[in-house]
Amino acid sequence: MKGKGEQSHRVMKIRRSIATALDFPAETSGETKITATGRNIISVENYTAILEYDDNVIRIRAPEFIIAVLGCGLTICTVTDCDIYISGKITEIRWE
Amino acid sequence: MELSNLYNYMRGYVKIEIRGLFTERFLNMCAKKGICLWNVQKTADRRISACISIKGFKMLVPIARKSRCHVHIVSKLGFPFFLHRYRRRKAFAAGIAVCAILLYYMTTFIWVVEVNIDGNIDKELINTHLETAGIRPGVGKSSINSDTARSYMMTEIPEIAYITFNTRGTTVTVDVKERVKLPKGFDKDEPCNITATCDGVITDYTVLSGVPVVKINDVVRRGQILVSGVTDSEAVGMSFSHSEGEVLAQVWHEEYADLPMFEEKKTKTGKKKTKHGLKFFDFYVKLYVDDKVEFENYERISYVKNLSLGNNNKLPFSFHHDEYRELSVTRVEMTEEQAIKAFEKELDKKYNTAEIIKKEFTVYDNKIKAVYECIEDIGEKSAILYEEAKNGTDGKDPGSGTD
Repeated sequence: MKGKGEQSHRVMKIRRSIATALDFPAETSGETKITATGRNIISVENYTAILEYDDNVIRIRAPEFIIAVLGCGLTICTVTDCDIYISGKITEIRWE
Repeated sequence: MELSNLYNYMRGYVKIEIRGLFTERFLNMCAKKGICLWNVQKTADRRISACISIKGFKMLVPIARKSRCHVHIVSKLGFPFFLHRYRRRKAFAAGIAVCAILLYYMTTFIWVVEVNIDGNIDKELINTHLETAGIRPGVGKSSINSDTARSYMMTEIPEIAYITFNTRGTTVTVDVKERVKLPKGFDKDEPCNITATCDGVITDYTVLSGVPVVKINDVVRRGQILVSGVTDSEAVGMSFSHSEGEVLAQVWHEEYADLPMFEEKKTKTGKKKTKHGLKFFDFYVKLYVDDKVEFENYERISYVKNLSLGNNNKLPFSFHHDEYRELSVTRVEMTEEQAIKAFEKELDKKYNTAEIIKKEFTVYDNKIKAVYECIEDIGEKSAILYEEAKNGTDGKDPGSGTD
């Protein structure tokens, strides 16, 4: 598992350097993008997994960190393989 | 969001409840497999509900087994399920299909023939000929051949200058233009005189061809030659030519009207009667029993609603609504001034082609006498009387005294 993680880390690095060299938007290289629309909708692109899902906390694993979205009445509007939309009364976004 | 809801509804989706310890794992595996979930909600501890497409739902079994979750269907929503529910109602489905086919089939026929006539051609004549030419309600659209119909109409009715057929939906619009008749009488090179149509004093004349035989301020009588088409010279002898020109004269028109004059005043009494009817093809179905309208004077207001598909595809069904409103007609005697006004209005209309210089109204013996002084063209082409021309009475008709 560790070897695989290291490899993906290296691939990430190369992709990132190519993206910066060509002035591509960061999310095209696999960087995680978090967008908040107003205070009720948050989208996370390029996530890897949902770690915890509860009414008042959603923890999402991204390649390099974990994002915790705190609030109340949180629902997942849509989940696809690369992005996730969360709606609800959001009070806090935390990087862990 | 509404649009995607509609899309989901049309595709059909399932609302499911997922129970188990590792619901997050279940969600992740779904995402990895490309199964889209939406409206994911935590309903209780270890329970979440979500919506999933039908296709996605069918792929859930291995995921549920791996993540040790139980999946339950809460409700099935969307159009495919709606269809599935009514799958046994074959007659109903057949009815819809038959209705759609029938409706389409009906629109392949002509149901309305609209005739617009520009000119004074009898509408009945056009209609009867149109029917024989194959343009009538109930005829298939494809069977109309406008070229043959046009040539048929043109040969049958010589007064038609042009005729066009436009098919829009189930309506054929027939536009007919009447041939403008040339002013009757004389060809451009046929010899003729110009004579006076009424008595008057010549005020002006413009002669394009021919010899004017009157001067300005001459008093002329009706029938007198104004421009002669006969020229007589020593060298050539007598020759005849066509006359062309305009002779303006001051003319007095006397008109009389009887007094007292009456005016018909119509007032609504408020009583009314309505009749409804339905029309299928040519059959009129009365939706009333009492046929009679007891009112002596009434106005009828008809309202016809044609069943149509869109604006143009009229179908042969229509709803008729006739309202008869009683009118009480009273004859009111007009005062003298009102009578004169009414008479003047009438006369103005009659002499609207002439230039009216003066109007005079006098009342005596229960009569109105009106004198209209106008300037108008009194010339009229008439045949040359060859006998008279040869006898040398050219320019002097019998009884045409010039003062």
